[in-house]
Amino acid sequence: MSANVKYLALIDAPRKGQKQPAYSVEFLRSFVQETLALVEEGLRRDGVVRIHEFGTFQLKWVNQRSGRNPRTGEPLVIPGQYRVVFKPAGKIEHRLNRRYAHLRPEIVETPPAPPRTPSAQVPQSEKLPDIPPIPIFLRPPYPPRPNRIRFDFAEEEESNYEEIEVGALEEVFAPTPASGAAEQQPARRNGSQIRWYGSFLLMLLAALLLLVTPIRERDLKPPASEMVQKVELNLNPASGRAKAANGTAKNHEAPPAFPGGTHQVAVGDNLWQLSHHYYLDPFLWPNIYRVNTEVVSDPDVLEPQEMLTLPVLYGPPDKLTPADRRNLAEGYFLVFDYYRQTQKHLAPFALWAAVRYDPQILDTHSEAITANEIAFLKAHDVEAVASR
Amino acid sequence: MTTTELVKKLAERLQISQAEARRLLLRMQETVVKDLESGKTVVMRGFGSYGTRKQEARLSFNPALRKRMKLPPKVVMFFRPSQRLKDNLAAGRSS
Repeated sequence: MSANVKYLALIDAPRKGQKQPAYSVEFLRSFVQETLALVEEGLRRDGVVRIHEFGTFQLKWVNQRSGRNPRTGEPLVIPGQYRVVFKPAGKIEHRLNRRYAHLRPEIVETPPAPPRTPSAQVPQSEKLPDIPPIPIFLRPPYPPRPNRIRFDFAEEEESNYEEIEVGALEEVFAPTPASGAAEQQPARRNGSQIRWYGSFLLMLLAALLLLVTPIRERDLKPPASEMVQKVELNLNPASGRAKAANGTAKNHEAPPAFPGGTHQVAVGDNLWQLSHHYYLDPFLWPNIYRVNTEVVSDPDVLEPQEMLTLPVLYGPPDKLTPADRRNLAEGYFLVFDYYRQTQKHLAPFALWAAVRYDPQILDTHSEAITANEIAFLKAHDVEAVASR
Repeated sequence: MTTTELVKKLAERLQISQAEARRLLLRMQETVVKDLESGKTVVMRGFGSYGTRKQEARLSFNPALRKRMKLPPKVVMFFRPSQRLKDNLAAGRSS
């Protein structure tokens, strides 16, 4: 194997800078030869040679196929064989395509598809707009159709009409007006029947509408009022609790920051995000967990389709009322309890958060909190514990 | 085979350091790509030749957009193995 001599000169070029060690031509020749030989060896051994930022050489199997001798045209079978395939690295492709780098694929506006049978359809579409839209029950009776005439008469009179084509029938019947008139009468009767049915249908519809509307109102009204009552019922005890917690009636006038509601869990929901969405503060998520412990066992896992109750938030996140703080402390305590049962290391932090929201939680659940956890709280500078 | 292995073996056979072998290999690649950029064809006798070909702009169909697209022209690099290399490797992998 011998490499191009021009190549060696190029590789050797930086020698002028004196920074790189100079290489003799023989050495460079052997370097190129060895490199190429190694690529070949690699192909034979692995079937693949990947050279970083240059490309991949690969042996690819091509199946046996039939072809022709290009000189004689004689058919022959080309046996299956391996081929050397080279795929340039993306970096090289980019370098080679700098000239076209500013170009992007463009969407080509395709012309609308031509109608399938233009000769037959175009005249029809031109005619259609001329006919104004008439309600079906007001339409005049259709003129007698030649098809039907042919059938009726063929049955009544002579059988030889059957052999005549439809298009030719008009000419056949033109000289016999009497038969045409006789046929028009039943058709007209049909038309008047249609008109009669139409008006009857209209009246029926109107009557039905009249009947249905009062029923609907009657049906809808009671549940609506019930719902209002239910909502009031839901709100009343809550606000009562709020008042009791406050000890004053100040919050009675201000509307709650979040009035409460329900939420059906969608894929990807979690309590943190729901709290952020509804309460505008993700840290209030235990408030939702507190009310939904029956539905949600693990606060970190929600199942799609679960219906969650969203409790009321009386004050905005930056001005929580004492009732909110108590609820949140309760929620964080529930989370703490769950985490402790499932041996999650986050448990003491949940308790810490609960105490931060409402220190009284320590008194209400004093028997459930161990000395270790109290020590943890003390280590994390909780004032309520430090004073104890 | 990867670049690392290639460099290791090169260093072994030529009695040079791996860093040096890697540097030389990179410079060899660089000369090839520079020639290709200027539109030349690079021939390595006994191994094969590298070259570029301009692919003209063409119409295509983007199945995701369901739209017909006009793709811009681009330069495609190709490698043509020499007859010797083809003959040597037509039997496939040896191992």
